[in-house]
Amino acid sequence: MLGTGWGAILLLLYLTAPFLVIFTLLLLLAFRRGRSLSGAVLGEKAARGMEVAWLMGVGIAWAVINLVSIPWIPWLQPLAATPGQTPSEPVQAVNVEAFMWGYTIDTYEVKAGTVKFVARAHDTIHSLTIYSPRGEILATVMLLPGMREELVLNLVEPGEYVIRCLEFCGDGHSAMLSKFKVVG
Amino acid sequence: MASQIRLEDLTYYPRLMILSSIAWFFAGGAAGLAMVLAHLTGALRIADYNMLLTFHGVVMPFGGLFQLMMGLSLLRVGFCYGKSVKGPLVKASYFTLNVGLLLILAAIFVFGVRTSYTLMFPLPASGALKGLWSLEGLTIFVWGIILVLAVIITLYPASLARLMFGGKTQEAFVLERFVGTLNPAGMAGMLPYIFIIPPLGTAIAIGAVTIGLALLGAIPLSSAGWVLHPLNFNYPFWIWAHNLMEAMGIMAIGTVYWLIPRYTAVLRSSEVVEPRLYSEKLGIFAIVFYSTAAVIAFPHHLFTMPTSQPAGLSYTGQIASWLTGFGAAFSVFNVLATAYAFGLRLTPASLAAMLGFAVYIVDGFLAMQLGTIGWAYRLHGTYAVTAHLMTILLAVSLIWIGALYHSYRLLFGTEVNKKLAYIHIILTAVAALGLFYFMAFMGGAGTPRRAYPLPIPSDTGVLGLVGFGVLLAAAQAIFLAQLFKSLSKPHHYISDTV
Repeated sequence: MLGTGWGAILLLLYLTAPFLVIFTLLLLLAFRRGRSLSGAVLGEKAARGMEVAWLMGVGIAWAVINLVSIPWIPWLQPLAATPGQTPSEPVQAVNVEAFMWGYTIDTYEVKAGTVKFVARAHDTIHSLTIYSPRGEILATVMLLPGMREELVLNLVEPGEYVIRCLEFCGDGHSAMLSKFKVVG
Repeated sequence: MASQIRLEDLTYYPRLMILSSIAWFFAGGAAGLAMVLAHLTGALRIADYNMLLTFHGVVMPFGGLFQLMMGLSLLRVGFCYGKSVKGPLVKASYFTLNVGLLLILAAIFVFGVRTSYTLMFPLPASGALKGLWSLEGLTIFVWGIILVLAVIITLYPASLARLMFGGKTQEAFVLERFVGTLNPAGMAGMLPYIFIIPPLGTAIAIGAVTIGLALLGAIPLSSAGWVLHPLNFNYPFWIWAHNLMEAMGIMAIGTVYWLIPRYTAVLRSSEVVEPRLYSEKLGIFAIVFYSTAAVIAFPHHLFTMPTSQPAGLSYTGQIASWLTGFGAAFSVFNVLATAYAFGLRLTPASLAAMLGFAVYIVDGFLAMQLGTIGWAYRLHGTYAVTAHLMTILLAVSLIWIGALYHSYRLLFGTEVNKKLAYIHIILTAVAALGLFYFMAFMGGAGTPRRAYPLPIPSDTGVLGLVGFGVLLAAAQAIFLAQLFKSLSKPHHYISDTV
């Protein structure tokens, strides 16, 4: 869940909302103290302690999030086992050509399992963004003309997948999409 | 001697830049509001929406924020180092930027060039080849960009450097004294812009001029082939564009370090308050640490090219992105410890700087998420990225609004109506956060950015954007009313001498 787009935004909310509350309270306190302060009240020792604690907390949080995120990197994900293919080399390949404003795909139906997408852009920048049957973005790949991008995904959920372009490519950008099916 | 120095020498060009930036903000903001209303009503044609999108994308960061930063930072250096803010570099910065923006404006609305918020290379050329806009329009567009680049990469940093390191200090101009150049941290924030942007922008500037000359027929088109290769273009572009945004952010953090120590509590009514910061060393360390990490964080813009971008470069981009967050964490502690330990006087300047800083930090977490390879593959190209870009620009704007309120009397000759200023600042911060969270959630739901009409319906999201967009506009209307009132009063500053 945390590795999805929704998961990212929920974590953003969970971390930033308390930060905003604490920041606002400290700011109100600072303004209140600004009216009637009789002297500096933060002892040097206490301040150093808080500084070290804060930086250690941030460092630990940052390290944990980075380590947890490693398995979400597309090229590091373990490949799903599919009959007739080895995990190291998926036999199902889908070739995608993006152009203003559509896609040509050489196959519209694949078996549930590991699928390798090989994508190119013809004319300008586009993207190959694959939405699951539940509407969740599984991965997005930026396509520059003249470059060839490969992406391997585990498509285990049967259903209709949608491909959209998320890189602005002109007036037809919003309507640029294609679909394919994953069968069990 | 003192009577020969005119205050106008210090304030004339900064004021011109600030007023011009407000005009661009107003025009770009109106376009932004029209765009969110179009999502609600469907009233715009796609081509018209895309023209507004391009216009909004050009004028808000460059005509508005960059120019506001240029005016206020030059003013600050002027009165901190005691030097007049004029001369060929300052004049050229102002006129070149605005002429460049007017050329881009003509390319958009006369020739229909509509490439969206950023260049989306090679869309400008592909659009011309596909007949979406003409080659003449493209030529004007590119030369407008070249002029804007000239200011960002050479003229403005040169103006800043000349004021900081060249010329003689006129004591009568020293309104707020700084010691040295690196200390205090408030001035150190300007150094990354001066030393990082010119070298990192050179490659993209050479590329842009090459394309511009080829479009004019001054050199053969084949000689621009190396720039037109997408990777050759995108790496220099992102090295520059990423670091420009970072340098503007660091400049804003430097502004927080400049303002907050000046608004710490007065202990006795007779006391002259010396600026106080919890730790100068930590402030300078934070800026140096952040700037260093930011320089190498640019590969996160190209994470989603799994084959073309080497994995090692992506890993470097992720680590560097999170290190910038660590750099920001130093500043969070330093600023909050300053406010808590010494108390803060409530003024429009201190409130705007602190709220802008809070919005900057909140947005910073999303920035780090987008700088994480695993999340980038699920969020890149969605409204989450719009949330980040728009919010960092709003946060930095709010911090500079603090600087504007700090220098309001110097610039416009009248006192600020504090009540109106507080309403302006609080509404701006609330609207910025509201837009941020609505856009972030739309991004989490996979809604594509820069797409009209939205291919994935998001009624709640659009309502949120309209509501907070209107709130943001209302806040700026309050500021404009106050500004017009100030401008309509007799202008004491024109004839004043120091």
